Amino acid sequence: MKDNFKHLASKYLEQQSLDEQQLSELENLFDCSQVEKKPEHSKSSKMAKQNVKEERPVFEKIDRANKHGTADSNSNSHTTPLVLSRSLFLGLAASCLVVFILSFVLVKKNYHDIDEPKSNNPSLVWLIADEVAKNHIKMKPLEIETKSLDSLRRYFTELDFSVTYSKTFDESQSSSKMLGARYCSIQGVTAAQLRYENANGRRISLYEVPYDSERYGLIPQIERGESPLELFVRGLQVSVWVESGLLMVTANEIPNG
Amino acid sequence: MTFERKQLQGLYRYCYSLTRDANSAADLLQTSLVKWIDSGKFSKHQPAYVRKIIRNQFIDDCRRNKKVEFETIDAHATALVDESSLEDMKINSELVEIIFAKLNAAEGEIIYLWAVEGYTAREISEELGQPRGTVLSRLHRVKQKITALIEAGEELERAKS
Repeated sequence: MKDNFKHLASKYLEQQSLDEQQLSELENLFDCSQVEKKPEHSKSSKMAKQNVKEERPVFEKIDRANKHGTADSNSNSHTTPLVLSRSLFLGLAASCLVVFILSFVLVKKNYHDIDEPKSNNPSLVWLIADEVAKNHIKMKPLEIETKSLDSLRRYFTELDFSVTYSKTFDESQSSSKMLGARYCSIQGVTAAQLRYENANGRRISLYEVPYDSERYGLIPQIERGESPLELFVRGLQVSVWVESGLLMVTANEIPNG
Repeated sequence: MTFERKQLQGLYRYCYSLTRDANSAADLLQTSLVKWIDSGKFSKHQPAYVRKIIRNQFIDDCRRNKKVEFETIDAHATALVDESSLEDMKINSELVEIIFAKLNAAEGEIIYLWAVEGYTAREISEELGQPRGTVLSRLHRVKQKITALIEAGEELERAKS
């Protein structure tokens, strides 16, 4: 049956649709980003605001001092308030910048100390999970085939950390055997990818990289009794946690049923 | 700050027009939405803005995979006079999927904007930041591909009979 191309093309493209699960996952992205923007009434935002207020007087003190300074110099030198000497202006700008940076760091530190969702940047966790899932799917050849952690440590000379067993991984994947490992990276930092095979013959990837909260955001820490973050990305189950000072991420197929 | 499901589906279809693959389209959309969220530019809460992000992400992915999907069009390349000659083309409905498989990303996205969003060539050129002539040249290439497919189909029919 013939029809005009524009109508057929439109109909064809409109048949391409995301399914319910895919739509929900995308909607979750927006929900996570809304959590990041703390509601005004929350305890955390009140405390954060309080901390910011506590820092604000520093700016005001400097501003008042500078105003006084400017006023004094005005009364003596007949210059207008807006005219500052170059060195005074640079000093003022440098002081403001230092205070602003210090305030930002202190506010950020106080904000992180508050008991809040364990990752303050859900989209960053998503990026880590997405990268790990993509690498797992590619299933690139192992660089070293071994069941021995000591052999891995001897092989990984380019890492600036020591690969280690994960108690969390061992407990959840007790029937898995190690196949080997390769170098990889997580968000630009050189990491180790360890590959395991479970009793069903399914491959599981365990990624290890030094944990840096500035780079990776807040991630659940096992030593504090927190539980790993669980995400579903690209059809895989991805778990993210910190253990022994390392960011650990696993990727494996979603179990049937 | 969110998109309605209808808008998400539209953005997905745009991704599909670039990738011509369902899984790649879903990945591209997810990655692009994450970038939009991270950019914090929520005042730019429009599908057109997110389409720009999608396009740039797709181009980055192509570069990384060393794929060429946006070949340049010679300024003197043959172009349609306007979109109506393509609009008037009648084809068998079964050919549509085959036609889309033959299009490259540049042609696919123009067909999406033209057929689904209902843009004119001028509106497409404004959205993509390309000369109107380039858009019409790409549409001409699509027309040539459709014509070649129709002729190949007719020849096959003749050979069978």
